[in-house]
Amino acid sequence: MADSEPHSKNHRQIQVLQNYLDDLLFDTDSDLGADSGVEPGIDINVVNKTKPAVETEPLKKNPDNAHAGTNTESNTASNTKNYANQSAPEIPVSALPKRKPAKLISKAAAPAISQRIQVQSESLPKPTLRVKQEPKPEFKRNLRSELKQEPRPEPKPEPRVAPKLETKSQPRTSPRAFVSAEQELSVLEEQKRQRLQSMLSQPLAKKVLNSPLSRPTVVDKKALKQKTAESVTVVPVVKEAVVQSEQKAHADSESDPAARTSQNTDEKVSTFLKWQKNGRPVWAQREFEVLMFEVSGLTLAVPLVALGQIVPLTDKLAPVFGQSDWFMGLLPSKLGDIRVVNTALLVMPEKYDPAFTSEAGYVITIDGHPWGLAVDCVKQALKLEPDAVKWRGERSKRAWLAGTVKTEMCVLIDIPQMAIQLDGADKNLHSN
Amino acid sequence: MAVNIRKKEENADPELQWVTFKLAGEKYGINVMQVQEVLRYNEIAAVPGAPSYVIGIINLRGTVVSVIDTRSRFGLPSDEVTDSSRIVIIEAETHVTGILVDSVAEVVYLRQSEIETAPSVGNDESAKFIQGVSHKNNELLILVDLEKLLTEDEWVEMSMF
Repeated sequence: MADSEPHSKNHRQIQVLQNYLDDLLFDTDSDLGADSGVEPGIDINVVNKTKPAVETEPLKKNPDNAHAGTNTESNTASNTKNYANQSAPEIPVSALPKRKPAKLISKAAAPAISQRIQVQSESLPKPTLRVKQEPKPEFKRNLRSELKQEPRPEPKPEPRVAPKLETKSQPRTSPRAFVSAEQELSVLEEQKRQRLQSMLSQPLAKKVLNSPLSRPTVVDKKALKQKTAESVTVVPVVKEAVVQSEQKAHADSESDPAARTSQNTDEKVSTFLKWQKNGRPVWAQREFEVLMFEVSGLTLAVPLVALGQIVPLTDKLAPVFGQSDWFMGLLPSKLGDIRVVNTALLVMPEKYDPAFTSEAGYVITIDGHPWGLAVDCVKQALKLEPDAVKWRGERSKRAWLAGTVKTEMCVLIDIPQMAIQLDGADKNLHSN
Repeated sequence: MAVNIRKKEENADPELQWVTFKLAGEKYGINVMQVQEVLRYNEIAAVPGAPSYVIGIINLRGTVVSVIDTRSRFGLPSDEVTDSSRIVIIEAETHVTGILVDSVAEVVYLRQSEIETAPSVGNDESAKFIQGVSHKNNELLILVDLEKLLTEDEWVEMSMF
């Protein structure tokens, strides 16, 4: 009886320890970030790569294992049993943290988990590997301290490559959901970036690659409102475009101007200007994106493909005498002087408020042209199906007016056409 | 060898000097070769029947020189004469005349490649005075073509005073 009691006690301790280790190694449903002491957001791969690499070391020294494992069939499980056999007598039950029962892993489930781990390791940022590299001599020497979850030196906060992928509203209780959501977002983002860059003309495509926009920068209204920000070239690649329609765009690569990236600016403009027989311009033959902005209380939309840059109107414009009233002045930028147009006066002279000149906050430039439209504020971008716009049939008057966005009830500007008209108004451009 | 290359570059992209002056807060430049001298503001004698862009005449070492109201010519609002106001004596279209400016700044060196074409939108005749624009020291410099400051008839009319 006296012999059996310590044996039973030992056996109980071993069982608890076994459960704990199984849980630690295979419980993918638990909050790994919190339990492992790893910064939230670190993937399961870190845990599975780091801990077993250290913990399995003593197992080789004790191959005999009287208390065979109960549930698992893998080598890892076997190692865990050895580990338990070796260290159990040193650990009081009270010292062990209470955890929920270990989750069993069957042969059938193992590949799925392995695949999931693999997917996560590919999709999440690599800096997490630094956790593994940190030496843990105390852990090797004294298992008790590790099991008590003593505070370890936390890894330095790593720069998050895509912090947006983790939303607060999504609890990280389901790794599968996390992985799928993250994958979807990354795929969506990549597709969007590729599509935008391919749709943009050559010079602007260079801008996208070389400018800060190659980072996941965003036309963020709040960020743009920081007037103190330097006049950085910003190409409007939008993080969260509001999708108007879930219909897939028909892949008509032949009529897609995006495929022709080698053409020069003039060719591009003329291509964009062409209106097809269906009453829509070339850039609106499929789903297209527009950027919304406000001018004197009026919301306007311009196709994203024809935009150049957005420059905060922080500096004073240099007025040039002898120009039309709608010419506000020259705005120096890294890409040359921007000829700023008083959009309010140009678009709706009948309702023009002179206060606009002092209230305008940004200048949106037209790609391939020196002209920029002064606007009050930049709003969000929008994905539109061609059917979402009421296209103008007769465009002899105000040819720059392409149509009306039905859902937003705002004007859609045919900005390539507007650029042509502005170029036509410049006598010096004609003489050259 | 290096000298030859430099000379070729200079020929291809000549460097010009521009006298800069200010009007209504903006900086303008005129070709230094057309500037004869810069005078402090003196009393300008009004001439009855003179065009609106002519302020009057001055006596420059025995020679009568007409002074043009540059602000008026450029379509800028008029302003009072200050201590920094200057009369720049220029030679254009074989005529010697003076232009009244708010202040004279400096002489800048610009290569031809640094001069950009200025916009010319609208119907205002004054737009044709602008030869180009350039950036110097983070400041926009509007280069004025003095030959176009007045039309042929206007130059003739000016010479009659």
